[in-house]
Amino acid sequence: MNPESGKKTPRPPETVYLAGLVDGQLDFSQRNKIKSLVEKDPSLIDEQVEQEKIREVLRKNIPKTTCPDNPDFFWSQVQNRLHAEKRRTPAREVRSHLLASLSRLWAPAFGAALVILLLALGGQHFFSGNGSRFAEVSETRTFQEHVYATAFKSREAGVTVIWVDGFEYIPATPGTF
Amino acid sequence: MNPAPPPSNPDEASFREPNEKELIRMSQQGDMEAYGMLVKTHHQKVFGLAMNILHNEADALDLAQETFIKAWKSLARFEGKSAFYTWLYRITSNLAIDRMRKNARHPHVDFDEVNLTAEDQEAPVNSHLMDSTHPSTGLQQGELRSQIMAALDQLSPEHRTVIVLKEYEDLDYREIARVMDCNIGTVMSRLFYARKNLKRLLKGIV
Repeated sequence: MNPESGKKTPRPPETVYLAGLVDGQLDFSQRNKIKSLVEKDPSLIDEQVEQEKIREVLRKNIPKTTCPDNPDFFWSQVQNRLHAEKRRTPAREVRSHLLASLSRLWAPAFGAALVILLLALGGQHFFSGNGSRFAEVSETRTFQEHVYATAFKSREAGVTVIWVDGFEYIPATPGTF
Repeated sequence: MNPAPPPSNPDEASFREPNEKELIRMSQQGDMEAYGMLVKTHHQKVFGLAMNILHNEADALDLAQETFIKAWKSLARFEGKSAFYTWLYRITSNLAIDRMRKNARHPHVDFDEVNLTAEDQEAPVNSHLMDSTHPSTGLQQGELRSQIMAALDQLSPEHRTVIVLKEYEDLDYREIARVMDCNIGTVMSRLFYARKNLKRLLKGIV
């Protein structure tokens, strides 16, 4: 207590060493520090007694706790919960995999849609008619139904490009399609 | 679990029970049977810690199971630097503190002076308590325990946990620091103020 102001003087932070003193957990320097603090402020002895009392009361009244489940039943419960989590995990994985696949597909899908749109809007003008850079050869002839061939001819460049699509693999021997 | 005694002849070696270290290693490799043995060995202590912090049997049982589920998932990270039970206690106390914060149904105190209400002082918390009379207070031991529990319920989650780890589980400061993931100075400070608060809450009894 400060005699002039009548207010309590704040205690140094090392006061908490009293807990360690009661529990016998202080090192040499901490013990010396708290001893010197107690010498300067004898009211700290009351604090120490308080810490000892509450410690004693708690230790004399430790509640008895017994797990209601026997070890085997307890373990079976833990196992059930672990298995339940395991079962949930693959479903979650499939969902996230599907979402990841879809997110990977959006770019090509968007690209394809854009190409279709452009073809629909300007394809006819672009590929045919007077003044166009390419003329599409309308007649395609293949021996397999799912194989398509389209030829583009540039009059300006004097080049013809043949686009063949539908093969599962490139035939080893030319002329077999 | 106590380490298994050495076999008296080489033939017995293949039949001896694995010790805790071996069980942990086997569990880390995915052996659920080995992990089951660890669970059965420690479930009582883990439940006890959860019960002493939460004061509710159903919650404590659920938390004890959750502890072993979390431990199984994080077993690869257990390096054996501390005792296995200390590691389990760490998981238990973290889960308990989280649960107390989430529930937030316990009004708690840290440093301010708080008195128990008359209702708190009358209400017994636990029914299965012993009935010897406390010499200094004249209270039946069961009543005294109820008062202590009610007071503990008013502490902050950290203060309650540190009291349980020190006074009930008898861990030293270093172990408590490991369990609560803080330094020894913090342990000492928490204990000091937790005891001071308990003293105020148990005014007239202690």
